[in-house]
Amino acid sequence: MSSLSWRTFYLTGYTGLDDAAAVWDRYISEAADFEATLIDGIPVLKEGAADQARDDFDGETADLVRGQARHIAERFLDDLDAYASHIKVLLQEAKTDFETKRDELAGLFAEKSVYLTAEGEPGEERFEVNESDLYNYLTGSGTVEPMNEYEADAYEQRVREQAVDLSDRFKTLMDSVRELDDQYAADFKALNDDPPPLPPYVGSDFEAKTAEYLQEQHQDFLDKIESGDAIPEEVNDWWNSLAEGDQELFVHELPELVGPVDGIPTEDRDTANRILLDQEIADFSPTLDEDIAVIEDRIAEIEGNWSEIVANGDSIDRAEELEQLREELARLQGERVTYNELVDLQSAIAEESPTGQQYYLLGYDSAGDGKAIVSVGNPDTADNTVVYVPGTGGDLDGAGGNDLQRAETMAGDAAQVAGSGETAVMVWLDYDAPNNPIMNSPSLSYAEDASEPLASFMSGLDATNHDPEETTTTVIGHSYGTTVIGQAASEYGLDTDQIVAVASPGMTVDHASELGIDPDDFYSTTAPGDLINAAAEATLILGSDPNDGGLNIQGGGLDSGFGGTSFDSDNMGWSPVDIHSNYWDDGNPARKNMAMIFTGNGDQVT
Amino acid sequence: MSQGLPELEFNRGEAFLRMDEAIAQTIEGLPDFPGFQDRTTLKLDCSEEGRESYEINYTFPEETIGSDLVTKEYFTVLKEHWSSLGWEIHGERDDVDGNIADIQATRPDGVNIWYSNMLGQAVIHAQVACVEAEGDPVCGPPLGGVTPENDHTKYCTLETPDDSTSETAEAIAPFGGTTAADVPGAAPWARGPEDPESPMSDPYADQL
Repeated sequence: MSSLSWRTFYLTGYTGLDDAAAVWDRYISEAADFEATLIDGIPVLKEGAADQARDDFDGETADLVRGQARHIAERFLDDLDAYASHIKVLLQEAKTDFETKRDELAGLFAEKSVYLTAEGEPGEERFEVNESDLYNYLTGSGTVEPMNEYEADAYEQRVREQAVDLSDRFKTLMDSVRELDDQYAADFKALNDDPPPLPPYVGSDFEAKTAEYLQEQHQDFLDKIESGDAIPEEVNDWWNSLAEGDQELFVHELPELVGPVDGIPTEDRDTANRILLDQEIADFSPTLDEDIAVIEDRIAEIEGNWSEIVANGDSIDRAEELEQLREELARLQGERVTYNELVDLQSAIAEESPTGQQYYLLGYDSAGDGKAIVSVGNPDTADNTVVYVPGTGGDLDGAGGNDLQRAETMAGDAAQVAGSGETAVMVWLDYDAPNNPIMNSPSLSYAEDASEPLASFMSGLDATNHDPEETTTTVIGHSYGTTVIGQAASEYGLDTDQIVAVASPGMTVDHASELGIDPDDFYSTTAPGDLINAAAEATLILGSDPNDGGLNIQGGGLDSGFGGTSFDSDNMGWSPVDIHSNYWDDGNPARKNMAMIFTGNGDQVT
Repeated sequence: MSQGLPELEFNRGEAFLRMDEAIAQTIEGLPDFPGFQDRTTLKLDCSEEGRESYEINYTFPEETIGSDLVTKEYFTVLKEHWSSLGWEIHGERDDVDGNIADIQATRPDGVNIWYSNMLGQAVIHAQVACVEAEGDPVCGPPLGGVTPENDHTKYCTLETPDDSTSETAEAIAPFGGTTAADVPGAAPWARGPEDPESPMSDPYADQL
């Protein structure tokens, strides 16, 4: 506990704390200048800038040395900045707090009677009555006129009562001053003056070690990303604050922290996810097919000799072995399916797309049915961006196959619209799509689980786009994919200009205005004979029909309809099941209408 | 799978050659043909196991965007030309202003051709629906002077006439009554821009 006495406290000048704070402030400024001198002022250490000196010190090793020099400088300067800033703030706060308390004490002194005197050691502060002076005053000694007895008694009582009252306040105030003194002493003592760890030295495993060092430096924000507390805009700001060399280290050494994160630019996510995909494929056993064949042979052998096994009394052991073999076979065959899907995805995005655009892998997950986000064209730089959400049956296989082909078709069709610029089309399958159109699709749970990831992805696109104000963004869903969009749009809101619903069973809302966009920016189509008509009407679980133009009489009055614009699509066949998938077929006018919408020409749909 | 198309008498291996052949026949009827800007190939949905659908797109050059030639005259010409070839006309659609914007025709062998006005940009699509997925998809050099950098052929393997030789000629021989040797040009059935000075003419000359 502090032993600060009221006399010391009252007589101390606190402007010295301000002077000390100013000194620390100067250190901070000089540190910033030093950083500019060290990093930016020495060309060979400056990253990402064309310079003769830098050109002379070029290559991978030079980049590593540059990165290490920057890390070392940042390590000291960041530490100094944090340490000095903390001290400065503490000094400034202490000055303010102590001066405030001293003003309070001065107020007590001003308030007290002239016949009271401050006395007492720490913890015993009080005001004592100056008895002789008070007696002289009351009895009229000297030049003062004497009071009558009644007045003198009353005056004396007031002085004595004030002594008691002010003594309480005096002691309480000084107790709080000593607490403050203790608190600042503890704060200054708690300042961490241990230097942070040095970055790794250039040498073997330097990149991996530096990446580990970087991860530790940024762990707080990485934890925020992991917990879902960092919005994509914050992620984008954080990413852009990193030096180019550090971004590369994150991408190449810590791809799992980059690939799936909304708000990180498309090029970097793509590189990270391709690294992860290559690694996962390489991790599969090279003898997978042989292992499967060995087990199949052994199963065939046991089954083929079963009569003999029974005759030999070995049936219980062999039956047990058979069960284990079948379980292992199922596991390996599952691995084989996953391996094939991953290889197919890798192959599908290896070359340029049929539209001449590059593919970008914005995320994937091989667990379960698998998930993937693949883009035809770079959405960060395109003039128009389209996010396609597939419906029932969507899986990893489709993201590299049928659904990707639809994205290519949409990108190709959009490119043909005069003056359209580039249109990037993404397959967004970052959700567990229902597998069975009869058993699963009427359930809303898949859409509920998908809505937050879709909203986050759209916000990420907005954060990484070069010019979000001028880019036309559209989210288009097919079948159950429209339900996902409706759920996400109504629950979280989507960063999109337009929404398109193709063959929708319902979007969980009754009107386009509930989707968070202008209803004029909502478009829908369902071809005549599509099975989804019957499915949607039969369940009504997923909401109103988005194609309802408001012409049907319902409940005795005119239905106001869903809102938005319906556009034509042909059935292109007779089978209700096939019609549901024919919207991207050869010659279907739906394709042209979608191209018009994607390129900002929605007023041209027919 | 599109309904009403005849049973296809060819498989995936011939699909792109058939589609390019149909487009070659189409542009034979186009007056003042300006050539093409680019070619792309697409793979489309087919719900039948073991079958696949494909498409080739050719866009007209930028300088033709909005011209009467491609947005009006060619619709009239193609209607007559396709009919004269015995192809079934369908898919006529107008734009929001009431002007014709789409027309399609199906060749007797099932290849569908779609001529479309995309806000002034003319495009020809050739399509085959649900061919048997047998044979490697091969495509010949592009028509209409498309330069190599504008020729995007992800879904077919590009073969120059030197590569394909008699096999390609035989592949197209059963249809149209012409053989590869009957038609001069970069591809057996190719037709370049009518302007012989065009920089787009014969881009594959150095490969022949």
